[in-house]
Amino acid sequence: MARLRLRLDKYFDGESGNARVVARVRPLGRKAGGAGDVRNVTLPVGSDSGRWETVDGLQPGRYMVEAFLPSGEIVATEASTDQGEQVVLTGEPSPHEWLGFQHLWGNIPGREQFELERVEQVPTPAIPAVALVGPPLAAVGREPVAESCDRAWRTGQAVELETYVEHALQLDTVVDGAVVSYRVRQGQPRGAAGLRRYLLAGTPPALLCVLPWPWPNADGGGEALVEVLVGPELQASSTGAGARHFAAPLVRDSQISSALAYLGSGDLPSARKSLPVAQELLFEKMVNPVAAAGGGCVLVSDWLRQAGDAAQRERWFGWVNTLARSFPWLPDGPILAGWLALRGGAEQRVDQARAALLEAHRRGLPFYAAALRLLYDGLSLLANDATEDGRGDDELQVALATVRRLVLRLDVRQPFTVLQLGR
Amino acid sequence: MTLLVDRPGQPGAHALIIGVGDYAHLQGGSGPLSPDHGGMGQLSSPPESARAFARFLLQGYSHPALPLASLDLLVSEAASTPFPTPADALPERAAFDAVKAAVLAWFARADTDPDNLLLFYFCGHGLASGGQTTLLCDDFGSLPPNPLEHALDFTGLYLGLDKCKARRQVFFVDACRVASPTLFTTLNFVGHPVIPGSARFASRTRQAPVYYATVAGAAAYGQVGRPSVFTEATLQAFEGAGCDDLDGAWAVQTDALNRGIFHLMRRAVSRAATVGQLSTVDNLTRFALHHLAGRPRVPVEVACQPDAKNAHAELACVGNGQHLSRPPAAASWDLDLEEGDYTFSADLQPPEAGQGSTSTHVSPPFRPVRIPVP
Repeated sequence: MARLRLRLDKYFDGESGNARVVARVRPLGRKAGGAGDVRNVTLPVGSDSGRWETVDGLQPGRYMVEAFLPSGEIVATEASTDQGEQVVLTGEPSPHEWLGFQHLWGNIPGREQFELERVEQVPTPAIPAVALVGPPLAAVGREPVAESCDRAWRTGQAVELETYVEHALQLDTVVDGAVVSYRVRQGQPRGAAGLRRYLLAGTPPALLCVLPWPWPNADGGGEALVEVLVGPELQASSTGAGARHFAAPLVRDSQISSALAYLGSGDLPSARKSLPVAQELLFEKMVNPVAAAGGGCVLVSDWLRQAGDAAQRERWFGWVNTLARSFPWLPDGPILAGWLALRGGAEQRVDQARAALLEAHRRGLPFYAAALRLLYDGLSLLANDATEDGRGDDELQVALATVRRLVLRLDVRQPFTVLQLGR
Repeated sequence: MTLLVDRPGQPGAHALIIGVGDYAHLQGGSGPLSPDHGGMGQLSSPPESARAFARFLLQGYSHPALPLASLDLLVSEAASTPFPTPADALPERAAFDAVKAAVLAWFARADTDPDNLLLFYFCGHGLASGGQTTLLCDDFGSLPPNPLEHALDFTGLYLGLDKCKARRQVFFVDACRVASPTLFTTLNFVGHPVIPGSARFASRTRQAPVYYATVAGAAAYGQVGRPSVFTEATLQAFEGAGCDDLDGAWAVQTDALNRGIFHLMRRAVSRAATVGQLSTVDNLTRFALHHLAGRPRVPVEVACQPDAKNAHAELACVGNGQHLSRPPAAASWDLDLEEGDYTFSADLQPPEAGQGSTSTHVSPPFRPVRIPVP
């Protein structure tokens, strides 16, 4: 038997976050429908020549190695087991090393296209942003909050959203023309539990990004780098006319950053494949509840589909209920719990689902775009039933109206919640 | 309804295809102009796109466990054209009432067996913002105080179709998804879902990917008198770019289809200069959608390394019984090749000099080939 050792070469500035991409190793020369030896794997990405994915037990011969990146890029090469076992794939270069992660995620084009667009652009100043620290924005769709954000913009610095702020969030910037990477300076005081962090980017109508900060690595390996790339909108934006900028938050996490990248691209099967095998690390220790909620967003459709397995179901219910109960500042937990109650078992618990989704609405803006859409869908289903039964359910209708306005402002391309304000 | 196929009984695929090009109340239409026209006008591509999709299902679609069980085609065009199969049927126009009736009948046909497959295809104008998509029927704007009275709330319909017994469902939405001030001002009404979703309904979770021609907020592009860029890419992906043989024989799998459409769109968009349109997908899962009779045809992009040498290189491709060549040109060379082994070569012409070649296996979804040259 033979083996191949694989990795995808890509340069990042600083920490790579143990990024991985889904790939497959496919034997060449076999007949279609014959005994296949296709291996679905995930490859380490970065410039560290010490990180490899080893694929053992292969028949000697030729193989096609294909990596499917969250950006949609496919990087492929042929390998032969009699020509050495190390196979290094090299994709399209990113515009800069500091844009390597954003390029991998599909938020910025490759170097060639980036240079082309920059040449065609009239020189544009970098797009500024301010960080906000404050309580949950439960009703950001209401105009007073949008106005508050606009005021924050005009003052040009961190401001109070309500009445208290313990500290301003410090940001570092890396700039190329109009494109700016805003990075949350690591090691800052975290402030009181329950405070949320946002980035307000661009000139009004501005974009409001939910910041996944602080983000402790689930393996206990310190704090992950959180960054938001802000730049001129190259395509029409998700929320359409009037949007001049895009904002793309990401986190260089050791566990689920790759899964979140695939989640943002809509490729759920790849998102699931790139989640760590040891899901317990994510869900049982709950070192990072926001990461656990992200894992839940990736897995919830699988959980619902496989809900027939009672033991599995109990385990997932346990995880999600712990997430919902233990972190009262996290809206995404009760959203997942609400969906498990709705569709997660033989016994449907509509009342429990209603309570969970309304609780999520009270907790504020979800961290994840997928969770916000689940909240909208769940409230819509419950409201339809109330209408059909001729029941008035004012609380539900108010929550649905607010969440609908948020969903209309959502950038569905991003895994983390990004809303366009104004209008 | 224009039922081109209706074979009840066995589990199968039930398709509803809607193409709307003639909008009476949009610019250039035959009726009073809607104040909410938003710059939208008449389209020549959706009728052609809908017919092309229907032709594929009638003549090309193949699935041993899910044969085509029903096909309903609605088309709105300025001059109605009969559909040749079967017997020159004249498709019903896609006014809202007709679409509503067709959706309800389609639901009923598929709601007979959990093994059925629901197939939905729409090409025409759409409005979208964030997570909401609304599709416009041909009488959109006929009721000025409420233009969305004649629009389909696709997001709501998608939720409602979870009530259908068919547990596999596939949706193709080939529409502009430009943001609409109408959606923002109406706020609580975004069209009719026709089949509203219900929290009380609980069943085995469905597999139901949605393929969008473009991201929300962006325009999709038709081609005058031809199927749209997205529909052409989708149908071409059904010939090979959207398939794999990981489960045995070559078959279009829903996850591979996403990759195939993406790369074919990228290729087509760069040709057509419709920059900004990138297909996207929601709720992607994996299941077999179509089985290929032969080997897949794979989109291949051939270029010199470095790219700048393309302008001086005569390119050639040999393999699988084919010998193809192209004279020097600045752009890369786009080919569609049967899966297999090929050798690609570049012969630099004066004032440049030198040669290069590379051999590779071509397989779905897409193969970029770079020929190193001096």
